[in-house]
Amino acid sequence: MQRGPGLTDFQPGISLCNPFPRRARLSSDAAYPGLQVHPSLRSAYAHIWKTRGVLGFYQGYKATVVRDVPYTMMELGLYDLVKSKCHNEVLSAALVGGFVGYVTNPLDIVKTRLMTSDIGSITRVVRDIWTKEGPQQFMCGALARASWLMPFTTMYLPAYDVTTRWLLDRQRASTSSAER
Amino acid sequence: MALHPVDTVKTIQQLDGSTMAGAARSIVKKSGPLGLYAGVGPYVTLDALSGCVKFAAYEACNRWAQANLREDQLPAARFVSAGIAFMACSVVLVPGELLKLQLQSSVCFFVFHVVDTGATGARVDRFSTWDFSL
Repeated sequence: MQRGPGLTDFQPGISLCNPFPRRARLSSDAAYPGLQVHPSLRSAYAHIWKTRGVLGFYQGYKATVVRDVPYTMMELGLYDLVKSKCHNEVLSAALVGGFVGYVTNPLDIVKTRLMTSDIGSITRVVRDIWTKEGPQQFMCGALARASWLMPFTTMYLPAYDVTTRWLLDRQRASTSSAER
Repeated sequence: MALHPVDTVKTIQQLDGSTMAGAARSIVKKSGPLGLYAGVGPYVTLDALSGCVKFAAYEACNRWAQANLREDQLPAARFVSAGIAFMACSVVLVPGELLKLQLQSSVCFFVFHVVDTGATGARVDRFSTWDFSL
């Protein structure tokens, strides 16, 4: 019989007659309390809507801002810097994507935990990870994060450059034809 | 799309502290290979939409700045534009990420019992995430 780590009981009120509990909770000996998981898109959507309304869909909003603002600044800033040194868009994008993905993992892990649990406080998540699991836990998943962000960034940043150049060329062409 | 399984592995690692191979194995064991694609639907649709909103808002803000601000104010205005663009796209980005993460986490942590209440009275314990509805 397979078992998820530490999953021992279901939400109170779900009897054995109901074979489809909407939500499972991790018990206290597990990774962290109050884990929210859903088996299908429909059940996730329905659960969030019924329990918390529209605002429920914005759980972890602050954590997303805290992750994405430094991420975007580092990504775009470093990309321009590396590109000016090595003059190769694809190589620069790969280096930057891998590096920035790796170092922003602590921010990403906080967002992941906030969005999959009912903890609701960034400082509590950080404190819990630090004290219960140790600081090295902040880098857990960093390699996986870097290894999908590296190819993704390699495609996306040069594509953005090419599109911008194309739009600028088109704009220049239209202004010069208007001058003539 | 091809990279989504690695993202699912990352999410599971971040939740239970396992290694990359360990997380991948436990996903496949508990939910089958398709488990690696959990959450791909909301991610692909809402993330693509958020990308469109972000660049459209960024360009619109930059155009407004070029028409209404002085030349020396433009570099600073770019940062403000980027901020506004992020706020605009977050309206769809955050729900997409939330749904994706909750579906991804379910491939390893959603465990439930199906109890056969039929004539035989046999109790069946099943652990799956796929044949499931509210």
